[in-house]
Amino acid sequence: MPISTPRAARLAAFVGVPVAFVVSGVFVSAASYSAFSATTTNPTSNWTAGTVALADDDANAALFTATNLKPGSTASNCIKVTSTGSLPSNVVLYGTGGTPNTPLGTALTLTVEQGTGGGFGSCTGFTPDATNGTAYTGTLAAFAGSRTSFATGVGSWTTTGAASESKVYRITYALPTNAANSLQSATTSLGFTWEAQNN
Amino acid sequence: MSTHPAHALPRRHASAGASGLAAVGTGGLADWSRIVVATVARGVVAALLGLAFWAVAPAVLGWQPTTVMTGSMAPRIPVGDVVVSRPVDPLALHQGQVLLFDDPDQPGHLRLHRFDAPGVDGAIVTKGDANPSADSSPVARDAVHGVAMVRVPAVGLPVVWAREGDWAHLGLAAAALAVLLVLTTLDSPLRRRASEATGVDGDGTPPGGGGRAGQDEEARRENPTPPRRLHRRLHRRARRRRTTAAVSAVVVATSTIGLMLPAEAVAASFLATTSSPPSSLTATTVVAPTALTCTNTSGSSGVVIGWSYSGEAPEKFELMYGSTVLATTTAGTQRSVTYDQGALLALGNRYTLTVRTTLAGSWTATSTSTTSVQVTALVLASAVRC
Repeated sequence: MPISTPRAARLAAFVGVPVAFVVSGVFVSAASYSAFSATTTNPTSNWTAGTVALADDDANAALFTATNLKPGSTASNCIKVTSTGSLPSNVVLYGTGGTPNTPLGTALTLTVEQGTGGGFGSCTGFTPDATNGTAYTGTLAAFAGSRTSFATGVGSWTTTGAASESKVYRITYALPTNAANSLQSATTSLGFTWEAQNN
Repeated sequence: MSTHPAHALPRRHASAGASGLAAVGTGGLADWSRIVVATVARGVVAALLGLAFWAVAPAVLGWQPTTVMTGSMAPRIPVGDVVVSRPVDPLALHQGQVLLFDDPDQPGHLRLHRFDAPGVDGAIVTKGDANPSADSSPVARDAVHGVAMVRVPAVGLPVVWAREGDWAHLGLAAAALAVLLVLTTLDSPLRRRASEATGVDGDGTPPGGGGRAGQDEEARRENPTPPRRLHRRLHRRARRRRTTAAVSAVVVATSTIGLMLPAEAVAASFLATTSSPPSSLTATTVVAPTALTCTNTSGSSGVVIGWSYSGEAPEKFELMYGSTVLATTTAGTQRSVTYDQGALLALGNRYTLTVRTTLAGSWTATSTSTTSVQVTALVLASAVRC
């Protein structure tokens, strides 16, 4: 006997929904398995959702390679950091690497300003931002000791993610004129890292 | 799909009369299409609700559902997925697990990243699969909410769209859902006909009774009695109310689930860094004068102390007896200084003198080379002689 359409309609109504529900469960478990069963990260870059990207203009050269510092010595250098990511992000600066926690590192003062104009090797035309133009003042060792990650980094730069944006950072060190005689021949070093995280 | 009026379709139910045949027929192409489309639509709605259910239900066990807002764990965990994390003993966490934890960089946010490496003091270094480098802030173990266990694909997309203000996508999704809900009712006339047949049968014979029920129905239609018609109308009205109630329940359930999800949104952070290599800063070493010489000045009562110096031009040089400054040059370029203030030294003794470079501030270096002078008595004053 051929099945009637009303009967088929009711049957479909009763069976279809539970089947779809079970299928969704299977789907979820399969998706979970594929996402969480592997315990290694595979380096991938085939996502399109959005990016955060950051670059600077130092061509991998250090901001300072200063020798013969004496009491009263001071110098500045600028570096232009460019964000090309497609997501709005916060950019901060913190210290990385080097051996900053030395007597000289404790004596040297560090000033970080953010603004516009200038670039790596020349601060000509640099103008600090009207608000929050000074991101840090203190000793170099204190900067390196307390500004170690995105959470503790200095600076207040929020990118829109709409287009390429740049910010110039002027970094100045100074050895106070009252620096102790015992600091002769002392050394210190510190790297700087800018980190952007989407907000 | 081509549609035909139902009456134009050939009827397979040959025994049926001239009217009311479609009521309980084996149906035509149009009827079957309605059934298929409505069933598929119901299936899709049920599957969506099922996904939402799996996203929310584990919360009963204390598991935490979160919506993935960025693609830093892509491609394994794309944007818009809902990930459910199971609370785990902090000490049982191990490398490779995907963890949900308090964002160390943005208070109040949650982050979903992979356990990349153990850090110092039991902390955990995490990393987004799609990020080129590990997260700069290590995560304390007690900040970990759980280990990701369930991934429900795409159901969080409306949350992401709402968060990003992507109203176009949101509206499109809502419209698609509305169309889907309408499609699920396509076969309701068929089902209603079937249940009407059952309803008026009175003996509970299901519509599957087939031809007989159809014939009964037909017979009654030919000679309807007013109370029966009234009864049927009331029955239909009640059915309509039930359908409305069911649809409302689905809508309410869906929106409730939809509202529950965004409460826990995860910003699985993207990050990028750029670094300046370590800058090295070295303090200078002050160079001491060497090769001290002593020359008696002719015609006066003093001496000239000379020296060699090869360093950077200092602020000044000082002639020293121990820690007492006897004389000071006026410029860092001078290589000699005249000394005739014998009064500072006692008569008769021989004194060993040094010369000190004062570079800047208190930075000095004293010569190891020395010279000596003697103070001799003259008629009216004392004189300094080598």
